Amino acid sequence: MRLKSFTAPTMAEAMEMVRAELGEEAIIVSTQRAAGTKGVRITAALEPEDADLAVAELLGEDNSSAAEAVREALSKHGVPQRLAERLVNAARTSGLADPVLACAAALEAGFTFAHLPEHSAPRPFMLVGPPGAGKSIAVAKLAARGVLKGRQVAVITCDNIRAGATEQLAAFTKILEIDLIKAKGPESLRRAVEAAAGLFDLVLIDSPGVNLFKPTDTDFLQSLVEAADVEPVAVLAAGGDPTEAGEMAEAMAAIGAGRLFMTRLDTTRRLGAMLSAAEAAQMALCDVSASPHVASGIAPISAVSLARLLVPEAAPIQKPHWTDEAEAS
Amino acid sequence: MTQVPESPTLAPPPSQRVRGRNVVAVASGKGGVGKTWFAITLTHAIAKAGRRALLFDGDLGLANVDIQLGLMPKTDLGSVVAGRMTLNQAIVPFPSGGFDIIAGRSGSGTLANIPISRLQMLGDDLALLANGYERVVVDLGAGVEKTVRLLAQNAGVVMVVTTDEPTSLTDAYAFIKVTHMERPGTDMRVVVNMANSTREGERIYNTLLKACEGFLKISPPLAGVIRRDLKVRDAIRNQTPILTRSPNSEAAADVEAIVERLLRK
Repeated sequence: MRLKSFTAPTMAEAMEMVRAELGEEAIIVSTQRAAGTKGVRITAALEPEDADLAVAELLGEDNSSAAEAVREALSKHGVPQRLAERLVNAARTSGLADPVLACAAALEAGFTFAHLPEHSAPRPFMLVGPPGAGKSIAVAKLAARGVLKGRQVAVITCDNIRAGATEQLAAFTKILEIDLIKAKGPESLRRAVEAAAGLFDLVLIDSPGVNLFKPTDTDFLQSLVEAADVEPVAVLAAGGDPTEAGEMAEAMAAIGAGRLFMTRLDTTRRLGAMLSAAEAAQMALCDVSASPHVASGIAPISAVSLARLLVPEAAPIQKPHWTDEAEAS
Repeated sequence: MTQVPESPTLAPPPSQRVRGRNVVAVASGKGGVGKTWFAITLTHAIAKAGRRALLFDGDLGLANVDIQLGLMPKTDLGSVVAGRMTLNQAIVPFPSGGFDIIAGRSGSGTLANIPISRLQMLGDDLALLANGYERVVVDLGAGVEKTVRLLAQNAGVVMVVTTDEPTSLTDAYAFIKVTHMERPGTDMRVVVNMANSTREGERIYNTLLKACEGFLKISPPLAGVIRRDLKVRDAIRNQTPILTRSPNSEAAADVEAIVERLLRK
């Protein structure tokens, strides 16, 4: 802002001087009788045209650009620095001004998204993961989704290690009115899968929670995978230490898991572990679970929906991106 | 019986800590308008009103609260920034004023180049510390740099000090504008210092107000006018707070009136 005072015998003359020197844009901020004379003294203010730009530039040194907003969001989510740096660069080169969209573009470039088919799948899915990741609930949710869509779903459990594990899953399958098939080991699983072949649209297998850092445990999982030729799907609870999650995901990738199913988003505030796991193991993000209820809270994740979870104050979008195909058609 | 999957959401964010509501930042834009003197007198008047008060010297470039008060503090922000002590260990009592002080680093170097992340931590610590006081006054540095704005962000009220000089007015306006653009809704109030009379001070305020209303569409209220008073210079020269040296002076009364209005709400 520029300030300038003008003194003249009359108000009209003073105003004329303001207009002549500062133009029509100037505003009068003060009018006084000029000291010792009968004239008037006017103070006028003018905001130069580039003033707002200058302030925007000053503020822009911190977080005005989309890339910086993405950087801040990723940092708040505890995304490991190297991965964050890569995503920020991708967000910057996307040239998008909206932070959510810039973040989505970066995620699209850096990650694969491949959600689990709802209708039918040629290979059974076996959900694998550390104890307490939420595998059984994930199996129940996927089964419920299939049943609600009128599909024939088979559920097999290999989890005869943890006390009550079978009973827990049985409680869900009973409600869904489907049989729970129990398999005791690789050979038993192979027979169960063979028996189910051709009879079901979707075969879901629950596996025991294992110590992913213990070779004998992962060897056992691998023997299950190989015996029945199933697709292992990695299940991890969102939250927790990003490096730890990355190493667990790598262990699951080593036995053939190519998709990552994240659970418990609703009890998590930071997604650094999720991104770190997917990146470390080069896994595709498939679905996420964000509700304790079996009948709901499972959603395929996309670059946009993930970006919206990561970057705060997302612009409201009229149509939810994750409406599933069956609903949209 | 099919249902649309709900959009996944994360756990709700932690409830926003209401921070700094009792923190009053004193800003100016231009230097030399009596900002530090006002911050000291404001804190002193708050303490005299019976409230537990802390004065934080946030003028990282040229801290001089301690000099105006004739203190030789053994601890200051420099030690905190260097990690030798925590912020609450740097508190120095000022018994004759009845309030506490955190001195900046005066003379022995500048903190103006402190990394932003470190400053953010300092702001967090200050917000935490403020819980132990009824009012915390932060003497900000002049200018509109990031370091100044960041400390101002921890405040519930920002008092912007100006005088009748055009440069002081335009710099105060610049501070108000930048703060408003960065954090709309900030509670900013104008203090006119060294006014020839209360009426003259109100006229100066109105000049600034018209510019804010005309260009920014905001109307920062007047916190108060402090009349020009030779007792102020006298007090500063003697490194004694004016409320100690000349408690009955006009300037002292004007600041006490500002504090009365500040504490009323």
